[in-house]
Amino acid sequence: MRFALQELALFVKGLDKIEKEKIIERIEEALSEVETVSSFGDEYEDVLVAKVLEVKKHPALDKLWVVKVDLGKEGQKTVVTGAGNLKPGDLVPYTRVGGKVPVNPYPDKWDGVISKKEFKGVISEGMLNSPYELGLGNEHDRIMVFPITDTVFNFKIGESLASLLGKDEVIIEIENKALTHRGDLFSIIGMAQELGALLGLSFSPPRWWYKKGIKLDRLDDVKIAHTEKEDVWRYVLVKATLKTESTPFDIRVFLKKHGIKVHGVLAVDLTNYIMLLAGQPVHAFDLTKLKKVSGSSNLEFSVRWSKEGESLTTLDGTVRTFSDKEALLILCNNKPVAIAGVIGGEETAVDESTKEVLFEIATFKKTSVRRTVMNTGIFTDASVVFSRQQDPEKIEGVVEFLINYVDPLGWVQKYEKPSRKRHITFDLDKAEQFLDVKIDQKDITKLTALGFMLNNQKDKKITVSVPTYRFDVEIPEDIYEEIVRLKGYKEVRLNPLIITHRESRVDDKLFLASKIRSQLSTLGFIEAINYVFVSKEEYANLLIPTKNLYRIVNAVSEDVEYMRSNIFGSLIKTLVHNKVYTQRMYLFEIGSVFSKGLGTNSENVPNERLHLGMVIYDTLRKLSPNVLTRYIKKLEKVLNEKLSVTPLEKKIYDPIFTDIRDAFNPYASGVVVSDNKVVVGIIGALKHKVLYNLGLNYPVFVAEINLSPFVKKAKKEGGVMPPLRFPPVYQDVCFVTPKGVFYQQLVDKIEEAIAESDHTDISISYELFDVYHNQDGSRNLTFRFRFASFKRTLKEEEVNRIRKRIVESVCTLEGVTLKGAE
Amino acid sequence: MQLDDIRRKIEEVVKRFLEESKKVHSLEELSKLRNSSIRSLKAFLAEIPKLAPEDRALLGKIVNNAILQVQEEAEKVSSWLQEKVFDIKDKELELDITTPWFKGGLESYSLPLEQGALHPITREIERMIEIFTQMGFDVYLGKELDIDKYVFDYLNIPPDHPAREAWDTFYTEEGYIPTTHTSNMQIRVIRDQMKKHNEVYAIVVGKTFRNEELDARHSHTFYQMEGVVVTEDASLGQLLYTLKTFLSYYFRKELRYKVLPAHFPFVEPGLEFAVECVFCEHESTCSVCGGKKWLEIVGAGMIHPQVLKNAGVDPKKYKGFAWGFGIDRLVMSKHKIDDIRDLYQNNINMLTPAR
Repeated sequence: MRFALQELALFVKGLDKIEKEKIIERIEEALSEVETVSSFGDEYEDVLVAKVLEVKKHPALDKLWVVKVDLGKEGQKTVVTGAGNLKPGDLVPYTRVGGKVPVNPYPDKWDGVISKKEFKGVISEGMLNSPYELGLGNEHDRIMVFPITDTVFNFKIGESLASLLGKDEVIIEIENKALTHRGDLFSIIGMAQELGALLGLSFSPPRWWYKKGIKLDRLDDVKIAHTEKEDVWRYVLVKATLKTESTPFDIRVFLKKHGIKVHGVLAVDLTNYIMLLAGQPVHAFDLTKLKKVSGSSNLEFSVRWSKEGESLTTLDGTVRTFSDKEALLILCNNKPVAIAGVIGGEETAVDESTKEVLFEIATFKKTSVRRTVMNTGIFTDASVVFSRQQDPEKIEGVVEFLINYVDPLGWVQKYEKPSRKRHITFDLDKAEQFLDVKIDQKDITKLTALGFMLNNQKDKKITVSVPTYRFDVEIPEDIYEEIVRLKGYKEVRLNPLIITHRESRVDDKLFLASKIRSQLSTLGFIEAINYVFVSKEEYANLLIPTKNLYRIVNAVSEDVEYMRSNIFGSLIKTLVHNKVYTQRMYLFEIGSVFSKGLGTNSENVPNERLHLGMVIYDTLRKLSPNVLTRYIKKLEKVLNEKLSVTPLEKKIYDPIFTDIRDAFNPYASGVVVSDNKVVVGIIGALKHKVLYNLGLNYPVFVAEINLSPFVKKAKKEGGVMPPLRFPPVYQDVCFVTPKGVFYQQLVDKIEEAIAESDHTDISISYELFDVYHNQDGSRNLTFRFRFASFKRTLKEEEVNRIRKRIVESVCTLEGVTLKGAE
Repeated sequence: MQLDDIRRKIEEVVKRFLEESKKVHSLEELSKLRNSSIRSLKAFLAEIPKLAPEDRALLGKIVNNAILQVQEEAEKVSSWLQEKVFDIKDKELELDITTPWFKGGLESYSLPLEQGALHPITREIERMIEIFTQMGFDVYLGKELDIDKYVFDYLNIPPDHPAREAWDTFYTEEGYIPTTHTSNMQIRVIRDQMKKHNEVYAIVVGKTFRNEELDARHSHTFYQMEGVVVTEDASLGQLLYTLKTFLSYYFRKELRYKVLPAHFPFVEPGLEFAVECVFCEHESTCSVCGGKKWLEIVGAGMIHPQVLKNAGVDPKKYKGFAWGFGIDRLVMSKHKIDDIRDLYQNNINMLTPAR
């Protein structure tokens, strides 16, 4: 919303004496940020006020006129023009040679700069301008004639229009969304009252502003049959004839200042004018057209939600067909003629030839207008104002205002929901405690400048009545805000917040993520953060189906159409993006993933899961995907869980891992299994097909781990092992392992044997010590065992006995033998 | 030759191709087979002049159809072969993934010597968390995909409320919302903390989303940090104190602040909290604050009684305040990153910390 300070100053005594910086500062302190500050009229620098001295027909050219004008100090000039509406004595706009016409009527053919030009023997020096060329109307066909006896502007011959219209004018703009709660400030007069209160100046609105009652005849040819009680708070129709067709000059300038298009047709400009001034959108129907369209001279209006298939051609020329309850419609004799609060119909629109007008002055419930706007996608200046609640009480003033410009013939109304004054009682001590501000009587009195009334004050209990237009003030806290706003937030005393009696607790998920981050970065991994949105194409390349993905229905582009179900896919994107910049990448990311397969909780909120993704891409070394198996082992401490890797199983009962497994090379991948045999991840090499899709020439190793099972345990603290007092015994054992028997199977057997061993005082640990690949495809897996006792030096027989049990256990696996035993 | 004979011969060529093509092992073999079949099919066109005039056009058609059939089948076999090639290549990698061992064996031999790094956003978040936990706040992680009730309704923003215009909201087909702010956690945090402590001191960090076209200054994704305090005597002065203290710690400098009124439906009063710009000390035109000298960083306010009620808290007894701010802009200002997309591009050079 734009506000011209000079227009505001008409309603605030002394505002014109205050520096604009001070005004802006107060607005920003007490209301909202000022988005822009600009001047007005710069485009009129080369346009001067000229007086017509003589008007003659061009001697040779039929359709042209030769006009001599007086420019005061700049002397007299002759101008050839096509418009014949001038007579000696008229004051007109004149653009000088070398100057630029404010609005170029022929932007395709002409640069808008005036040059000296000869028209068959007559030299034209300059240009007389139409309202259109000044941006002050739609009229192309005539020269603008200034009103000589204007009360607002004092036209001096030779003066530039820039200084005449825009001298010292300051236009400030406040973002609409900053004023969403203040419907009353979508109006010059409303803002004037607010500024008066903020600056301690007195507010002097025009007399019609406070007008109560409408003293016009009731119409009998226009009736309001039905309005939706909830949506339409007040509906007023006023029938009138226009006093003049053309818009007065000052209204044109006013509209232009506030960035509203000037039509030059009074019935249109007048509605925009009153909307800016009073925050009351008014719609004007052409009464003659209305009767024709509705097929009767008796008009019966109703306002209701649209029915399936109803249609209307709106003012912008678009044919709109509505679905059931899509839009709140104005109907005349059951035919749609306007969309309530949003836009009128083309067939009944006013134009230059309109004589009789039916003004609609209504108050709609803001959410009803907004719903219509959202459903239909039509945004207009009126809908912006109506989407902030307007007060039905001001309609009477607006009608009174209109009567200045039209001759009223009568009115009808339906007033379903009169505004009621609200009373709010608050406690002064509580207010002071809440705000940390000292409040004195003066601060309370200041509220009256905003239209509040002090009803009752008993000790510390104060009751105020809220003006009907302040729909945002409902509870004591709203009054507190008004007090601190007027007083200034600078007055708020800083009040230390001291939290003494508790220990800070970090969310388990964050805690775990933080531990993993520090572990992986120590191991050389770099953390990436990707968008959670992915495209269909990305996942097609990764062979991941989209059926389980959440799809965004209103995405601005295809890149953000789906929500990711895994992290590794995002890391692959990072990898592809970076592969030209580096030769090796060890990446990880921790984040939420989404899948319809995860279901919802009891409140129907979709479950999301915390995942870890890792990617290794190394063009410098020939690695195998086992490198990941090793890294997974390194996460055991952090996750407080023993993890094992087993070959990619046929069936995985996890909605996300099932969906992503197709990206993995089945011969070189595995699932990660937790202590209680739950699948918590997939690791391995990407399929060559995926590499091919992504244009990658080197193998890529990927891990995707579900962190959720470990979250609860994240904060469990590890204990301390007792110190060793006796040297341990080491023994190497080498198993010849045929192809098809996996390392993990050996480990399971070793664990089994250890668990069954009865030597509770002996601690047995082991690690894989060497792997040798034989010609026939079998492997020699050498384990180094450590046997230690906390109580004594172990005897060789004891150790051999345990070792024997382990070997026997492992050798039950088909084809596995002890090396050197045959 | 009669047309029927030729037709039979053509059919034979096609049939042979179909059989042979099932046996090929490589794309080269396939293309050889395909080309020779097409060549022999084309050779039949030489017979045209010898045919009866009414049969001539017909033969042309038959040959063309046969060529088309060969080509289509070749396409199919080719893509199948391609898959097979992929499968063969995949199989070449066959190994025992369960073995925590790889050729070369030792990490020191092949893996990066250098330490890894945390994303700049993570580093900033960890610092913020550290400050708030030292002040005594609990920390929550935001939910990213949520329902209308938590994102808007509970926060005093019912459907059709014009305030919803201020948020460009994504919706999934099911009507879920990738959350537009971390305030979706407010109700949950208040419930959880009140149950445990009968008061609330908490912050929330999380990713948030707006339906915006990406460019240097706009992003559909950004991080937010939210703070919530509910006690019997929470006050505006405590809110301002908390924000000033946090930001002074964060920027390592005692900062001046100012308050701009602002409207958010879930607070009353609502405000924007600005601190003096810490980036423009030595420059007259600052790219961060745009010469305004103030950084409007935080949206805040006293929690609306209705929101407290929605969280099951009696607003007569308890008061609260809350705030939220974007983390990305702080990270960008601090590290002189001028394109917000860079934060999520993960350019490897940017992620490797500067010395």
